[in-house]
Amino acid sequence: MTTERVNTVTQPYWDGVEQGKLMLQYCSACGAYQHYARPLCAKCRAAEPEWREASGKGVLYSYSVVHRGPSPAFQSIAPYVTAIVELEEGPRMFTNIVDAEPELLRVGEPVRVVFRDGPEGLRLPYFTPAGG
Amino acid sequence: MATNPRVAIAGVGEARGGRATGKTTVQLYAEAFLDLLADCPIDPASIDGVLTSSPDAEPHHMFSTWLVEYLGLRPTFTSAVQMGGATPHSNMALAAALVESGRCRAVMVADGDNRASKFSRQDKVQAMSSQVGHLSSLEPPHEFDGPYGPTAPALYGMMATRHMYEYGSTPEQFARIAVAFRAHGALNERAQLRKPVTVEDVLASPVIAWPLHRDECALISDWGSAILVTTPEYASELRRDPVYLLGLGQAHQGYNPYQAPSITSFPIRESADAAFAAAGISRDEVDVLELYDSFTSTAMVTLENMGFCGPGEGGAFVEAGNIDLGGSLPTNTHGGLLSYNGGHGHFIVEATRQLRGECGERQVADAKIAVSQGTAALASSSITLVLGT
Repeated sequence: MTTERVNTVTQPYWDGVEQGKLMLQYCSACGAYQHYARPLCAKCRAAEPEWREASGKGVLYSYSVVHRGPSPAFQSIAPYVTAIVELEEGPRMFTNIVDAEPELLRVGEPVRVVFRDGPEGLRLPYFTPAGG
Repeated sequence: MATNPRVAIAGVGEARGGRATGKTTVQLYAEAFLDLLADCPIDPASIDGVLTSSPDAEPHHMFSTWLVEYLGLRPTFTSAVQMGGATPHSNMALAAALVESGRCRAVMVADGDNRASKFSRQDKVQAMSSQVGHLSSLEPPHEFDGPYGPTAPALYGMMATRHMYEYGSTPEQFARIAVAFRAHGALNERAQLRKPVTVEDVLASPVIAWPLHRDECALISDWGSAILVTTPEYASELRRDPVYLLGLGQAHQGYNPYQAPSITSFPIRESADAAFAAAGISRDEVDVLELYDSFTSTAMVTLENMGFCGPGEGGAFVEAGNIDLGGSLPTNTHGGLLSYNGGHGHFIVEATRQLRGECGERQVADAKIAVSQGTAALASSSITLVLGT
């Protein structure tokens, strides 16, 4: 799906997704990573954080199994798992957990990024249990 | 009466809301306004401040100015605020500042929405999710969560999941909160849902977003509420039993749930501490608590974060009956969002009525201190109001 995004600050993130890379902003002034992209570091307020590729590894911070989706596209794939993942670099991001039995998920378990086309046609980073 | 209160509530009103009424949002506001006038003999020409919410189901450009026109008012200050479920609390804080500074003398804090009517022809969960702040959208601020199909129940479901992980709380403990509020609603003839439920009933209701079931989710309602905020002097002229704002506190840390440092511990603690300190009271002096219960998880976390019990102790606290009428901290005596009505201003209206002793079967005996707690943005925004006689 082609989208008209009026957000030049976040474009490198979406360009990364197209290339199968999970991109984070990194502040060279204070060493903090951040997601989502902003024109400043929200921790130390330094301008123009740089971009770095994330490891794609993280842990499952929390999740919910959605039985009633917000649109027909999501309703058609329900139940599905919405989640917050805490990345190895520190920031948390909103995502779905895919390729997993919802009943077997455990908060705190390791997860890793995978790239897929979503139910609305947009290519997105998702996460899946990393095992171990 | 408390020492030197500077702000008072001289009247409250509510629309006849609940299930789909077929009324427009501004019509519900008008009903609440008329109910307020029946409660408080103020000359409408004396209302010099009008604060409203920004309606969700019928979004309207410059809503507060339309309401002013609709009601024939002529204030010197008006504003439509958007603070999610804490909007009336936010407007109470603004009204208090206007009154304390002398900028206004009589401010109406009004709230309303016609979600039940507006959403009646579509799936209500879908409508709420797409229109009430948790958009399935690629536009900021939902560029990074909208594409994943978030819903309000899912976000608060994640709150419950994390709470269970951190503290070992159980689905039964969350459900117990819904049982308590429904029992209170059963005593309230204006409550949308009045049939008592058990923990087993709640857990047998359909899963909306695991671990949350239907009976743990706020009602979708039509509503309207209006509160008249004024000086203690003017309030005493208008009625013999005004209620006073003894303290308020606020704390805000953001919007997106995935940006919150924790989804079980929020700035609620800071806003409650500030409000209790301003009022000069301790937590054990609170007779009635009206807290924003969008979901059972919201209520659980709020009870803990406000300091009425320790972190992770909320489950045992509710199972021991503390939040029930007759318990140590009767909570959501009108039934809350889970039983009374999905409207946000009713917490303050109920707190006021409890302090005036008007609540009939659900009245807390000799209530002198009532706290109304608003939260929004998961609970990253918190506003605490301490009211007293």
